[in-house]
Amino acid sequence: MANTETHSTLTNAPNANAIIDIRDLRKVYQLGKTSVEALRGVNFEVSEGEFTVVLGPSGSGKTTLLNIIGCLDRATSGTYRLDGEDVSQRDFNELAEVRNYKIGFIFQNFNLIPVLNVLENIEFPCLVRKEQQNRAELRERVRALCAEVGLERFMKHRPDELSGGQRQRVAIARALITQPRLVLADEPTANLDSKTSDQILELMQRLNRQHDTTFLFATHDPRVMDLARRTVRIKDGLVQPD
Amino acid sequence: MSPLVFMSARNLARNRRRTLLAMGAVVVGLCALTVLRGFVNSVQQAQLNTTLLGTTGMLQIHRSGYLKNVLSNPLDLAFEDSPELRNKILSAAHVRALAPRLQFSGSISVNEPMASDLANVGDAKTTFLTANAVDPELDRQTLPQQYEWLIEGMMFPRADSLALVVHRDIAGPLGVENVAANLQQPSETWPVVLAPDRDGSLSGEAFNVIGLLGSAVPTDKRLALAPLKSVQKLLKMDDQITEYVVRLDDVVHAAEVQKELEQRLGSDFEVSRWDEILPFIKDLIGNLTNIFDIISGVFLLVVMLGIINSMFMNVLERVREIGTMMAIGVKQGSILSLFVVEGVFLGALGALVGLLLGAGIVQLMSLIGIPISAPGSSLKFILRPFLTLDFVVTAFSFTTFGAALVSVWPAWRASRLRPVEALSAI
Repeated sequence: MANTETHSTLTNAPNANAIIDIRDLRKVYQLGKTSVEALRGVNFEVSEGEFTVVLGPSGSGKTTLLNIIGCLDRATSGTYRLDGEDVSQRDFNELAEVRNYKIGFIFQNFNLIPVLNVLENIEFPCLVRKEQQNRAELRERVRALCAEVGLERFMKHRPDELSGGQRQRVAIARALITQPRLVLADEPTANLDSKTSDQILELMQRLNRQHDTTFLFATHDPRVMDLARRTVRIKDGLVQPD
Repeated sequence: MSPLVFMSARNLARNRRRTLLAMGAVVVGLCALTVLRGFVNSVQQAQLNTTLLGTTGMLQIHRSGYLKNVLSNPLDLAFEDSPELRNKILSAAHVRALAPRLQFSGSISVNEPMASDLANVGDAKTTFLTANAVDPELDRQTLPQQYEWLIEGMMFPRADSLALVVHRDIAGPLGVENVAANLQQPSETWPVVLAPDRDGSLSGEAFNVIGLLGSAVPTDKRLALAPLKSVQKLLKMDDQITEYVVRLDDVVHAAEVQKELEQRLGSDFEVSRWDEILPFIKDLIGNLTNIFDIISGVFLLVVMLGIINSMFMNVLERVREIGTMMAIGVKQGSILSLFVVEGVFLGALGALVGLLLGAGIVQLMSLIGIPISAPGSSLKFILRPFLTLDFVVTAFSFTTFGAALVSVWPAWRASRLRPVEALSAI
């Protein structure tokens, strides 16, 4: 059984403290007439406030798992509860809402919107919400976050006027502005030099402590692994026991 | 302002070269269409003015059955030109002027050789004419354009003058085209007009040719204008006319005034609009509009293809950005709106600039004036292109709406991208 291969023993009842609660998750890709099973019954939990790293070689299913956790993709079968809510069967627009309210993303390539300046990039996730925003209050929060990540002097700069480290700081601030339950960081230091990487990791660790936000990393960077409080290894579509 | 509208505007500014190229196509297309429309308007206006203010008038009033029998014996359906009848017509709303006319056909002959024509001494020369006997003062008020076709000499001053204004093609063969010399000739040498009266018997009278008409339309080469009173006397039809020509303050009221006059005048008379008398002129103007509409359609299609192409390039270049927006929580509808708004901006801005540029060129052409000869016409018309608000609003709306419509396809493709695939795009 797949359960025996997971890192922890799970009961059938949902874990009330878990931000991520995944049960028997499978993902099958159809490539022409061939089916490829990327996830083969994953069971996985992440508790609130954790600073977790997911490790795995290329083709292990790590990216597929992160995509499903990030509600960017849907599993073929199994359940995924995010912050206590089953999101496995949500449609595209409902998943967009879940992403907006509950998840912050930090990408390897920063993925900032090039036509928006730092301030606008950071506030953007709040502006796409249906409900009316108090712009003054929002701007104040953005300024506070900018100060927290060390960008107060660059708020009017466009992404192409910033260094890699500064861009990643913007991405971190953008991920945190919605006060998400979970921040997913996909190779956040891969495109940064070692000094900047250290600063970024230190920043994320501080934010994790201060905001009690759950961080989940996918990385090959040993420095990230050193900082992680928990490491989850994935291989051949299955989570490996600790 | 919605952040998406704001982003759309900035995205257009981001890739300036492509935006300018796509917008350039819209600008050139709309500018060309605007200039063409201005030109077509002036051609149609010239045609309309020739008809309404030069030949037919806006309305004509005849005895019932006249138009059907005009080719057999029009004089049989003459009627009395009375002040009461005139008042009935002139008191109707929108009627600005009225001219009584007596249409007749006849021949014109030079009885004796002219002094200037010594080679033809002893030869009598005759040609046919179709004449309108008119009151010069009332006719000028009703059909003012006709007097611009007087290429030489002058109009007879009174309705009882013994003078004629004839088409140059009539005067030439008769040897009376030198109107200045004609004025010096004694009445015995004047050409004689012979015309059958209502009984069919020929009556004749000598008239001096004091003015020459050029051709405004191909069919007027036998035309002559004669003084109404003199012709009535010649044809023994005192106070009789064959028609009233009516000028209105605006031709758009023609149908409404026609109804009103039909009621006032009763069944003895028929009231005809210009487009009932000369339906081919209306068709000609309508055909020009149809041709312009087809050309406009082709232009707009090319412009829209340019916008589609630009929008697809736009989507292709921004796949990862679309993925990022989706990851952040932007919904499919908003992604679709983002690209449609960009298309609308492209179309609306391009249309605005194109229309302004085109309007400027039209204004310049109007100031300079375009000299042109109509087919079959010996006269030069000066065309002054102009635009109507109707065209400007329609062109702007069509382009903007069309741009929105054609942007839906690339925008829909963008909104249907899967976030995972979009984020992994290179």
